[in-house]
Amino acid sequence: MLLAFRCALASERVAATAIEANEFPQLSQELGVWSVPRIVVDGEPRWDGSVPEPEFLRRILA
Amino acid sequence: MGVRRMALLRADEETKVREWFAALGRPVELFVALGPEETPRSGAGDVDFGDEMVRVCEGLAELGDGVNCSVEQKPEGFPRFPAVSIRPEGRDVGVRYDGLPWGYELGSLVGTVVEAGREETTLRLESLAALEELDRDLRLEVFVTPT
Repeated sequence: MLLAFRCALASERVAATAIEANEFPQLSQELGVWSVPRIVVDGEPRWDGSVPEPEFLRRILA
Repeated sequence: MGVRRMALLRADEETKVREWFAALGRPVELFVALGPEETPRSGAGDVDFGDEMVRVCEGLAELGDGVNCSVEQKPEGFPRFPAVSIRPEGRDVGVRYDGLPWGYELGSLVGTVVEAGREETTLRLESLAALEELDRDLRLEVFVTPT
């Protein structure tokens, strides 16, 4: 989560929101959130779990 | 009879957070957005998530002169409530937490305030260079849980 926030703080192009999955069950269900952290990029579920910074950047910019 | 509320942080944690907040390079606003909430999760009891969000953010703002908290009802651009926008120098830079950050996530919110209070990013130079190449807007959502 902090990595996503760091990207948003560093770039005007990036917005990052952490979403508490239990509190928004409908949205979590729509996006198939079964484990956390689940990363969603532009509305598309992309992967679950933490990854190192270079890999995080590679994946969100892919 | 009033409900006794748990302290936000343990004494040793509070000391640490005060130190971090005292070292912020720029002020950070916690902009709390309140509005209609989804049906509470089972087991949530009588917790009012909006009230708790205000308590958490006002509680954090008390731990450092550089951190302040404001609250607004149904501001534009917030699809879910409660939420908190973390704003360096009061600017909305697109950093938001939807839902009540409790448990482990309270630590994440503290970490986010510390990050937002830095004048220089802690990202690697390569990461910064990659972000500078971005020619489109990017919307990241990270689903988390409090444990």
